[in-house]
Amino acid sequence: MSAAAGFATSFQFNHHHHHHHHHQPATSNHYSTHTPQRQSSGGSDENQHERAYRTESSASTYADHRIRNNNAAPNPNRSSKHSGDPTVVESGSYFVSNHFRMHQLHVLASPSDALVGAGQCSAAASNSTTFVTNSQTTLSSSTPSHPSPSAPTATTTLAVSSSTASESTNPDETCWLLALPHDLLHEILLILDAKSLAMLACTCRALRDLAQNDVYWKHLFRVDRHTWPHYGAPVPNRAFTSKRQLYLAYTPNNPAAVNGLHVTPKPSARGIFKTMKRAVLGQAVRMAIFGPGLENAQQLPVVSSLLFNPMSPLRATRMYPGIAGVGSGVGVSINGIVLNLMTLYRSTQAKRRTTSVQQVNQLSDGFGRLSREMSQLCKTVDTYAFVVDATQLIELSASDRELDPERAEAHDSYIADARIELSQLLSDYNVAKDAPLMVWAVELAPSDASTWLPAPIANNSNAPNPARTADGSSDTAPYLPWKTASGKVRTASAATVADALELHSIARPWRVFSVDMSTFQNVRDSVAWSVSQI
Amino acid sequence: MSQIKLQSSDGREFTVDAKAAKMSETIKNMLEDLGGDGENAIPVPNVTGAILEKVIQYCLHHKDDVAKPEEDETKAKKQEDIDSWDADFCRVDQGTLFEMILAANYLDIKPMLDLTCKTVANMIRGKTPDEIRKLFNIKSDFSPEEEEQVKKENDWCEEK
Repeated sequence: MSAAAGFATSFQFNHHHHHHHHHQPATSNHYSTHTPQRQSSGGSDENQHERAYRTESSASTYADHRIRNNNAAPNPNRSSKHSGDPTVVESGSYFVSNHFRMHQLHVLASPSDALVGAGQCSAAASNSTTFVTNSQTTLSSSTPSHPSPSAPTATTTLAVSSSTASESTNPDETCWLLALPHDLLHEILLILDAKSLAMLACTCRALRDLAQNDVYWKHLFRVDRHTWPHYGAPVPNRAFTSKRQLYLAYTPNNPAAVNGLHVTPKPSARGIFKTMKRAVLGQAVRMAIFGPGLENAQQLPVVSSLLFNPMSPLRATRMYPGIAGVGSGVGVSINGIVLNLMTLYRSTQAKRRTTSVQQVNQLSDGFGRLSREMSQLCKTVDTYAFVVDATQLIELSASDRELDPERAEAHDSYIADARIELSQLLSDYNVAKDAPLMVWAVELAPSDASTWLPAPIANNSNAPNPARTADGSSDTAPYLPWKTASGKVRTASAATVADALELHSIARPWRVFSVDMSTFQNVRDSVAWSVSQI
Repeated sequence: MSQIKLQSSDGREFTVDAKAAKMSETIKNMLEDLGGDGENAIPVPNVTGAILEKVIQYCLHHKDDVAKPEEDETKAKKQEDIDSWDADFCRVDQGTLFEMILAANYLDIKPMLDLTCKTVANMIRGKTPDEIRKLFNIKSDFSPEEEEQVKKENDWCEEK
């Protein structure tokens, strides 16, 4: 028994200092039913006594915790705040001056219980030191080895010592949430999503101050940005004073963030002027589409999809002749915007084995620069669309790499090539420095090309073969790193693509859009954004 | 030593499978430090019998769980992944739930702390400020100006 007694003593640390300040929250029963496992819920009276005691002792635990960790001091301003309100009996509160600011413990009693409640409060306040300490000492020594589930000795003792108080407490008026120590409240807030955090901030001062802490928003930004369908550079020269502001500027769920990154920003005055000029002159917006996402056209007939898939928001209207043999394109309309879409391929058509109707242009002159024709062409381009395969840009963990080093290497070189292609084009002196860049992170869609490709193209022997490209083709081995738990092919989020391509170092306006080539989600938005930035 | 005894703050004694009890880092350390002899009950002074019973129930159910690998920090902590036993386990009144949080924290049972915190987070999720106030008996202490200000700052998410 000596060891046990030793524990008992060691655990009764500082239960003595502070009980006149605080008060315990009382039992709350309205949330749910009692579970059958709760053996102690025998007689309701007895139960209430026990609960009353229990909350008393745990409240002292909170307060111990609080005082030891936070140097809390009683806040005289707060305790008298509700003094005019007869329905509120606030027996104690704390102002905690650490970085989570404040926590309050209050006890509220209903009007009918106000008198008794007050009695209870004062009784509890004055007795609590002796009450808790005594009963704990008493109980741990005087009722040893009593395995009875309802612990009659304990509850009887308690019933006597708290008899005047226990019945008065209205169980529905306790705020358990605010009674939690700050580090536990912190744990809960860390799990919350942005919306819940914002809603919680609207409830009261203490939770507002807590929920606006940057810790949560930093965390949310890091996590949530990978779920956003588009991601881009912040508006230049905009400084964010907090991570919360940063989050609000970036999240697509925030329609009010005028300075942020949500789609459909207000066009600049210059943009409006340009658009008007273009309309008057009958000029189309000239958009060049390029990137490694176009090259593996066998799997991913991006351009064909855009032009011919009935789901595509683009409608081909006419052909444009090129200049000096390069840059011919297709006139398309989308949301009333007329685009001259030019495709800049890097490799030859034969190499791609694609059925694209686009004229093929050699992007590079073989010396790491744009070919002369291409460079000339770029003078006339208003906006660029860079297409990458979102499945190739996923983040690989160390264990992913271990599982399939060869494929990981292929991913790395894909990313490296993509970066080179991008910088090669954007660094050309003929490319306007402020021409916006949209990046389409396209998601591989099961090829149903034969259903919508025009017959002459579909009959071409080079046409995408659904049997070869659909899931379950020759490459059937379920590669874990490349698929999610549900068996879906893993794709990189817009934010991941931005990181992989190091877009943050690009000075021009840029934005990444996740584009699903079967639904064409985001195509409309991206074009609207792009045109607004010209 | 396959069984150990725990004594709650209100003097109730529980005999528990040692493996289950050692899910609590606090108890585990205590046993290691003091080499408990299995005869004398280990006092758990901050936890009442009713709550300790819940804790033990949890530990018995989860004692054979394989430790989960540390979660990737960049991944969202999932709120929905509470299995049905755990969900039933947390179907208690609010007072009990919050005491379970305190007990899990004091006894240092990480998975139980995660579970109970998740449960509270789920209670908050998807509710309006008024619904949250009502659920937790939070009394608004905003001045009318503050109320307007905080609403304005946070109405961005009400659209969706």
